[in-house]
Amino acid sequence: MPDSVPDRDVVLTCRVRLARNHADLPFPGFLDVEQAQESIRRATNALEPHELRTVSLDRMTPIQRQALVERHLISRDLLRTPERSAVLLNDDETLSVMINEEDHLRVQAFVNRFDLPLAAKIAFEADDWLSSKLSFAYDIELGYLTACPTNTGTGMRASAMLHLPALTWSGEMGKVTQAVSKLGLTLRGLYGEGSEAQGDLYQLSNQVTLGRTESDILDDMQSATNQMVDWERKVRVALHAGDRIALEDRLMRALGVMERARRMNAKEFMQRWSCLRLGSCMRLISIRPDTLDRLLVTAQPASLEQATGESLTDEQRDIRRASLVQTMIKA
Amino acid sequence: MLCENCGQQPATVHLTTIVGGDKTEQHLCAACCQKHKQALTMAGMSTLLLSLLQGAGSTQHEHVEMRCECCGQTYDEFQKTGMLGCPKCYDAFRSQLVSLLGRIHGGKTQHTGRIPPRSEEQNHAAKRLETLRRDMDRAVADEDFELAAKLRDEIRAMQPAREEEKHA
Ligand SMILES: [Zn+2]
Ligand SMILES: [Zn+2]
Repeated sequence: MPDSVPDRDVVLTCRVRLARNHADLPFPGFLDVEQAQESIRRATNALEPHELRTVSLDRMTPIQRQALVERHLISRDLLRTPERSAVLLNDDETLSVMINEEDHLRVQAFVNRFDLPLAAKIAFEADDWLSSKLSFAYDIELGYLTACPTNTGTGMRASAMLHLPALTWSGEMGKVTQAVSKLGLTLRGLYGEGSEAQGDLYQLSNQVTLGRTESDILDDMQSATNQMVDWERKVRVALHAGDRIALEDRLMRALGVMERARRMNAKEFMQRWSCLRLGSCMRLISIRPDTLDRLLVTAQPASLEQATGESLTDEQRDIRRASLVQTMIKA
Repeated sequence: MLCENCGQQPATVHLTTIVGGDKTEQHLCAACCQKHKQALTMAGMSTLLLSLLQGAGSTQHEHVEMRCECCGQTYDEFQKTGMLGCPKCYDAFRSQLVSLLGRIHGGKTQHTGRIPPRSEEQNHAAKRLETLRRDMDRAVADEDFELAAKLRDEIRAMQPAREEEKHA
């Protein structure tokens, strides 16, 4: 079934994140307990008219917190100090404001498709709410002042989550990474340790935050992402044209395992998932890409455990994962 | 030159400390320098500085230590962790940071993006309000009710103005 969302075959989500700090408080790593509370209080007050839900991390279990990371609502870094951090979320979870992460405020707009202008609009609107009430650390020369100089200036990081199985399988990622770095952008694996990119999922984001305007940076991201989409599509077509049976065999075997396996660890799941998503987008497998995108989140360890409502051993988790996969792909 | 701590041994180590633009110099003998170094370790000084201090022996040695007077973060510590302590660190380590920022951000160091709305004015109003509130509290404590009432009126006069600003 054709998917009406443009570029969904390659881009899963996009995000715009703004780093902001109170002018008169030390950065979060240097806050005492009282100052940390003050930072939370200020942000909460400033956002009060906008009906965001405050999530106090200190009252959550580690699994509940981890599940928020898996849903991309908070960063892993925020969990280093849950007792002095908080996060505010809007109803549809397109906006999250993390408090006392690396910076006092991390405004993050998250959109489930490739629509950077929409993500930027959500983020800047929240920035306007905040800056009408709070006075941010700002320097006429250097812009927004952040705890780490890699964010100084706009404090903005725009990113897109890309599924690049064809480029990965054909060994093109080295070339791709080099090409984007020339544009002041970076590409890294989104799941897995070090250089591995489980599920062939990558995050493309801007490296430069100073000396360029927000819209320049967004334009760069937009055109670089478009290029990546084109590139990936061409290689998909080439793979299929080159050895149709080999490609289809690989994808269909993955489908067979996903439909039948009784247990599956996270790493194997990511491998098979990537095949299913490619098959889906190439119309070889009749599972919708958005179903697979939901599965990608719900099959992560903490989300599985949270849905079960009890703590699970690795073995139990792998069994649940296999049965979740089957429920979702048959639906 | 004699050690300015014990006044007995010749000073062989010359320490320069820059805190918020104020430069202080210390001239110490090797033994006092060792004690100073231990005191700094207790205070959580960076190993980089320690290694520089360790190198100080019979010959002259100078180390410039930059420190943000607002939060206490040193440039050495920043170089180890990559984390600044507070917004004022950008003033304390400005020239070093500007060249670092240039290296990180492709050579450019002039911000061209968003500007927080009326940041200067807002800062000013917030500070003024804080001062008025403190003065009023003091006036009440001193039982100077006439002054307290006058200050209260001034505070009231400022607040609706700020409310209007928000909705303007
Ligand atoms: Zn001495
Ligand atoms: Zn500082």
